[in-house]
Amino acid sequence: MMYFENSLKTLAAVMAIAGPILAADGVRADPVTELERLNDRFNEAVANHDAGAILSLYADDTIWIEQGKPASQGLDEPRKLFEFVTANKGEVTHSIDTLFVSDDGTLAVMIGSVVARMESVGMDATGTYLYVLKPSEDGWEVVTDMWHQHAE
Amino acid sequence: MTTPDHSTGEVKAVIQRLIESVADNNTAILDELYHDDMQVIMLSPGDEVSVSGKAEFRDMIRSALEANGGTIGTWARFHHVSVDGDRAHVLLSRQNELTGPDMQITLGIDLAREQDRWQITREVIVTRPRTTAA
Repeated sequence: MMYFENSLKTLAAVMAIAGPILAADGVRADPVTELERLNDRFNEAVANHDAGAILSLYADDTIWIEQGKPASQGLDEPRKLFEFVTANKGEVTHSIDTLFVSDDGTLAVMIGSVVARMESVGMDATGTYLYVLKPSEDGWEVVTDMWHQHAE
Repeated sequence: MTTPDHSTGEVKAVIQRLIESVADNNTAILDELYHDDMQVIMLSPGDEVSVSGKAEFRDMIRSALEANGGTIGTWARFHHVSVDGDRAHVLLSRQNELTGPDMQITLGIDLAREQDRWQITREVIVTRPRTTAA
């Protein structure tokens, strides 16, 4: 039984970090489906407290824009946040409110709502996120993350 | 002294006034609403990132207005407006003559309430190729 549960967890982890959704004929899914899947992968990675899986959704040169702080480029700041969130068993859920995909398929902008709870630090907050995404070899990746936490 | 509560409607009205004033070629409002230490981060579809300050961005808008006969459209779609005391955050999308017919922009705007008025402290402008469904 334990083996079965572990296998399911492994399968879920593999699904969470899997690449683009391929149709039966091997053709990539439409961008909206792929981007919704990326959002699901974010939520799954947070639920699994897996900072590495969250960071795998980001480009190495991601532009990170956080309220009250200078913008930065690279994964140092995202890593700090997501390692803190996962180490504290934070529950963070992203819900897409608006999704723009350019007609030529070269760029997408995702705007959504965040619910964040972290019992160990007494956090219970909502906010927004704005992702700029670009197609990559195996799907889409976040190239800019501008997030904002509302007053608790 | 207590801090008055500011509403999301109040902040949205500030941005709408900015849009409508610039559309009418009234660029004096830029001096009023743009914070002296404002930072503008522009992200282009080609991965270029440019950062400018108040004076540079104000000049850029004036030049664009001149190139477009002093008038631009006011279409805007607000996605989120939030207020936390004397800080606010707005997400919106726009398309007008400044962006051109093939481009649209999404903006993330941070504001601070200083000197008894809202001022924009940071504007992140994401330029993207046109989305028909926008």
